[in-house]
Amino acid sequence: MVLNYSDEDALARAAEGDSEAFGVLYDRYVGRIYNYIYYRTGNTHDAEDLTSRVFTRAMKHIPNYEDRGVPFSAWLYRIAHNLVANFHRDNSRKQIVGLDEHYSIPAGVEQPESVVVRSEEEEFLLSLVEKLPDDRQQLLILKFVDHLSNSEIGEIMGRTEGAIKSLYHRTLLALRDEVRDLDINHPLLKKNGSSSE
Amino acid sequence: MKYEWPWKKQKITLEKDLSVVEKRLADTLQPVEPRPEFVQELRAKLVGKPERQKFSVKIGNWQQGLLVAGGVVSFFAMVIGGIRVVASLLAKDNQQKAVDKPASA
Repeated sequence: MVLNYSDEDALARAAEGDSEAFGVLYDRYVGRIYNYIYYRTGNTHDAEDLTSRVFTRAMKHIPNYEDRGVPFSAWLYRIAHNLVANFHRDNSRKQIVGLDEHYSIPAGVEQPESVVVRSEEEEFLLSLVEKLPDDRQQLLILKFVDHLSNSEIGEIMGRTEGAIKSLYHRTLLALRDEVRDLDINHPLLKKNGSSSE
Repeated sequence: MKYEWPWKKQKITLEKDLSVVEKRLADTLQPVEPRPEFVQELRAKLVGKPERQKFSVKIGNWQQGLLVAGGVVSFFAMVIGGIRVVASLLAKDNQQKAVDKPASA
């Protein structure tokens, strides 16, 4: 049965031109890749556009895919990462999208279900995450949104598990310092972490 | 009274701060669902058969597969039976006409 294929089996069949096998991989990873891109771009429109490009590119290059001990998911995330990097490079040239437009909901516009209503505090934290270097953003999204382990993140980012652990610690420190520098009494640093205090 | 070394205190504060930031990140970076229409349209564009997966799930179970096969066989049996009934009725009608003709002549 098609749905029972492991990633490796589906990959081998997809590489031979079996589009249904590629469909299995698509169903398995479209949500995760979309989430990754959504948090890297900050809006559903670009997330859909780039997700579409990731899978189109993956399908085109799947016959040339070489198994170098890196999981298929890592390969997809790398495609996504490269496309997001290109997207940000192009956008920094154009300077079209302002930070305030990110993750926010325009007034009077009916929103798709996928748009999350965020508190001011969450918006603030997201804006801090957005300012982090590329690799740190990637790490946080893979860890918190996709719930990947340090070793899985290491495979995707091409680093050791120890390096990921260390990067994660430094990222948390940087965020803490950033919040503390801005406002020492910010709710983000209140001890029990509750937003209702 | 137990004395707390200042650097130990500082370490505890740092750990607390980091755990708060970690918790906030976990609350903020929640997975989002892509629009189902987008997922289906993209699948159709890439694979070309958006409903194939659902079908394969349905017939994945061998009992359900048997049920579907039985349904298909029954359908054809009914169609063939219907054709035979119509054909036999037409044949009877023709025979009747053939018998009636010489009598009226």
